[in-house]
Amino acid sequence: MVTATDSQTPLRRYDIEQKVLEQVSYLESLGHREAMRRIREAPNTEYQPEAMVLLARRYMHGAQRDVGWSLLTVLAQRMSHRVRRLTERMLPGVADRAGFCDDLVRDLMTAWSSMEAGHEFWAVRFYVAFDRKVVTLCKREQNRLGPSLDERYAGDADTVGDRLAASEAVSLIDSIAGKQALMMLSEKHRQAFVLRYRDQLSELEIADLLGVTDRTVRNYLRGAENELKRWRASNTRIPT
Amino acid sequence: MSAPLEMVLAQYADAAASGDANVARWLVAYPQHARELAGFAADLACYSDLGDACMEEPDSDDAPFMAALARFTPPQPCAPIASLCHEAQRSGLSPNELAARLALDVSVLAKLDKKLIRPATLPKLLVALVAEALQRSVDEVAAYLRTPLAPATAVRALSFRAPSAPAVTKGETFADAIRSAPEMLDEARNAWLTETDLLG
Repeated sequence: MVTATDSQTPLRRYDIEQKVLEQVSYLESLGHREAMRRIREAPNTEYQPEAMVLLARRYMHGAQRDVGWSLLTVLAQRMSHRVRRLTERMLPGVADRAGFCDDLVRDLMTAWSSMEAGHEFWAVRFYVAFDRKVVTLCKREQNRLGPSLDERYAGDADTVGDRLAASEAVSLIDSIAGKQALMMLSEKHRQAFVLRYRDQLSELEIADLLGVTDRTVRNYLRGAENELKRWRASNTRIPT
Repeated sequence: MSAPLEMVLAQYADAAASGDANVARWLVAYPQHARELAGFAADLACYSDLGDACMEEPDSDDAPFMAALARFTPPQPCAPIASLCHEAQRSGLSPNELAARLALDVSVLAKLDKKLIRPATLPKLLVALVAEALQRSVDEVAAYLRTPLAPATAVRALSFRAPSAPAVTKGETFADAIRSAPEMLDEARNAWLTETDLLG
């Protein structure tokens, strides 16, 4: 079992930030045409994505559905860089991402425009929700594209040579290139590797958490290490 | 009360950003979200360097996403509401569940559904709550409630074999409907009557 090593972590309540509410209130007071003009012409840092989501929802659930969609389109355009950075890490070499991007756009626009419970968080902590959404869809795409590494490395535990040194694993997790390599691992391999080396959970603790045996965790770890060693061998940017 | 997953993850992300995230401690604090938290922590380790990047203008490398955005067609506006109860069923709510969400007696909901209550007497709050429950806009719900009852339906709604000639009903007020609702809790009845008082 995982045991407490420290006091309990209190949960702070998240509300919509005052700055976001002020931005929404200000933009609403301008009328939708002027608000859209200001948003389009302002520097990208001017209006927070949370404010854009909140304002778009108000437009869409009032009588200005088209204005709401236009605003969400502007927001999506401005998030395209971040989509690319995340997908390059998780889906490298996938030449045609059209189907994936179609799904992603539909899911994002649906979530941003929804007033349903469960979607409120987009207006509170946009980037946390955004990254999770993109990463979740990337994982689904990874699974669709081929057999998972878990399957490929099933039974590898006894056939792999030297284990990766713990310090080596930590420096890999901390490096930007290493993060990219980690994103290409299957979800279970990545979880086991990060929890073991960065968070220093024992194999038993990880097994308990993932609902598998400690032997399976060892398989995950060796599978991940094996793949990372191969990746490092073909990529000189990875520190040794 | 159980902590919402999104809040736990967001706070973990904050702690991680300030280098103060001890996963073991978080797993103990929120065992109900342990698996999601472990997965999130592992994922976050891989993209935490992106930070809360400011939004940027797209460039040519973003072409696949931008092309998908250009192909995206927003869902068309829904057809006008034909019945509150049918609309609720489309949203997965039975009439009883809808009435409960609105803190109304089913008899009042039935009157609303049949447009037997004068629209001018309906509190805005009620219209907003109905819109939220049905996942429709306030305007769409208001439009439904404002639409006059078809004369044939209105006449059918009157007593059969009435002593006088049938005539189109003007409908009762919302306050009267609330007062005459047989099974409404006093707390809900008073709350709605207060809302109607606010209308003046």
